[in-house]
Amino acid sequence: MTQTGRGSLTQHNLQINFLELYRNDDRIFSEISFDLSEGQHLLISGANGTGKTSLLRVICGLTIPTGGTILWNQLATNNIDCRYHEHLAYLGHKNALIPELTARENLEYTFEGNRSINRTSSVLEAFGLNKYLDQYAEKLSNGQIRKVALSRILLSEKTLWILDEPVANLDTSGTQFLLAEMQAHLDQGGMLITTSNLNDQTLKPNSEINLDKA
Amino acid sequence: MNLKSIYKLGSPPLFYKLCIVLEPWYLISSILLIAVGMYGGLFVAPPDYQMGDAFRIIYFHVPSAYVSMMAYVFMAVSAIIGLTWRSNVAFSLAKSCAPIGASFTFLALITGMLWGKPMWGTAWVWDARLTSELILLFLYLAYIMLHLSIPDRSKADRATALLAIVGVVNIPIIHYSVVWWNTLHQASTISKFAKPSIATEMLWPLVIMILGYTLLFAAFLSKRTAAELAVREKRTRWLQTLIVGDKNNA
Amino acid sequence: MMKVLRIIFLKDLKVSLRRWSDLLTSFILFVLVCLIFPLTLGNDPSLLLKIIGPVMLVAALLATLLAMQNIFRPDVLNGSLEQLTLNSYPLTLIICTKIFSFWVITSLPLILISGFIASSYYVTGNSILIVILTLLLSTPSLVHISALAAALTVAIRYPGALMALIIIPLSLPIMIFGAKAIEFSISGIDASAPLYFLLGMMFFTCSLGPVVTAAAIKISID
Repeated sequence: MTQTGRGSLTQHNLQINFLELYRNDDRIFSEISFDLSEGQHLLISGANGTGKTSLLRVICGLTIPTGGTILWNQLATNNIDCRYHEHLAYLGHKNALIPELTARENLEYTFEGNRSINRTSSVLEAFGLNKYLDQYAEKLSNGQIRKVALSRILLSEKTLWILDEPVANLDTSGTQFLLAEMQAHLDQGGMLITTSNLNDQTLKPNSEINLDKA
Repeated sequence: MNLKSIYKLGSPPLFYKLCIVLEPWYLISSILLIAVGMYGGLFVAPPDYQMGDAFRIIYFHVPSAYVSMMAYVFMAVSAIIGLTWRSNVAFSLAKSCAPIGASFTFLALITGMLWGKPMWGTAWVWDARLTSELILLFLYLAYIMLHLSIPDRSKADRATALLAIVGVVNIPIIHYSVVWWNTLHQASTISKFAKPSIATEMLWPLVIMILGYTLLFAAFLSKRTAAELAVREKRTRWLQTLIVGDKNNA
Repeated sequence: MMKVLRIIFLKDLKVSLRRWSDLLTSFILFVLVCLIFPLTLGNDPSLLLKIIGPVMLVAALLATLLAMQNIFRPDVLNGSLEQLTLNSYPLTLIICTKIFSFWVITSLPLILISGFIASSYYVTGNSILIVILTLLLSTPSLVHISALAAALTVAIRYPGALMALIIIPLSLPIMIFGAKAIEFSISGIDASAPLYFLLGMMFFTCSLGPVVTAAAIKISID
């Protein structure tokens, strides 16, 4: 895997300070603070409805928090000089596949990175997607759709992966492959934020935020 | 808690108290001014040599039309401030503006039609200004409907703020295209709403009425904004102590 | 950058073509609205020549309104639009490309058929060209205004009526001047003044529209 897009001079770093989110009058979460450096994995755990997804969306910049700051390499993410989005790959509950396009076309729709052909085919091979590449996304099963969406992340060459329940809908071999890929990503200096509702098997995180207690 | 959130929490109580304090003053002064203006307009000013006593409705029509447009601009400015500084107070102001502005627009339309009946023989003529006023009403309605249909408050605030800004940019374009269309249709008729040189004893009640209506708008706005802020901040401590404190005093 | 925009443009064209039934519906609406008037008013050439301007623009507005309800909605539902906002490319340009591809797919057919419809309204000679030109200049503005309304209402379940309430007042200048241009040309007056106005409005909406629409998208997917 090439190291393009990863500054070798500066260590990437994500710093979250006192993040809080209110919707109308309801508190979703508050006082979330953490620090994430290269090679580290943060797990956000908690029961359903504790705001895991909302927290991920705030970290991505999709939702504006009620209070608190998100710093990428010491720069606020809404700063115009901040290159946060060049390093960020996010996969939520929605798989972001357009049903009217084939799996292959959907993969091409991610326009960033110039990954090698070998790498692409090995990921698709491991997920068992090769046979289905020319099928329309609406004809694929939920698990296959999830795998296409995950391959997009694996091939994106971004530093920070933010994955919302990555192993949901995956079969055993797919889960094993994904966990191995996530570990490889961390070993290469990548950063990882995942959520889990405690029953999922996942990598051992460097740190954990439990929203049940917060 | 960092400094910024303390500052944020600090601002709405101040504004709330300001609204509560100012509202009666606005209301009293506006009632006085409107009373004086009505006396001047209905009894002192001489009847118009062309339109007779019917012209006196301009003392209600012109001020409400003026306030209806001012309210939209005020709403758009508050919306810009709200979007830039994410200020809850500015968003409350903008949201409170809309129904009041719509009411004044409605009033301007009704009084315009009441005037039109003796002037033109029918209640509705496609006069440029009346038509623009009607479109303004639709812009207000679009704002109100959009606010109502988005359940998340902060989202609704920001989406409607964009609509208000686009609307305020478009109002002059809409107005002048309606005027242009109108002059092409009936090039000879002069707009009945244009004020050529107007006698002083006719003018001063009009100025006073406009002032009175503006203050009335300010009074309604303070009341609504205070209520809106109270709803938005109902979980905060300052409001609870304020209300409990009021009860203790009473 | 251009390569990325070209990919988005071609993909959007492809997706729109695969959702062809939506497109056909708005096209048929345009033709049907144009058809109602001769059928209900009668076959009087002088009357039809008088109403063709407003009829054309109202039909174009309704067709645009119907088609544009779906410019962002499916992409919001399947999550691909939020991926586009997370991209490091400016969202305004991406939105601009999307709107352009939608214009190509929804408005160009209307413009192409408008000449035939005009001739069925007994329009002759140069005026047919003016009708086509009017639609060519006014549909971009209509599409941009509708895109803004669609972006503002994308999170609402039944946005149709609200979209109409937002779009119609804002597009009034375009309707007025578009109808004027056609009326002028049919009655033999020089139509360049309203056409210049339409051109100006087109530049205005095409330059500022995508900026506001992008902001609205960011709010709506929050």
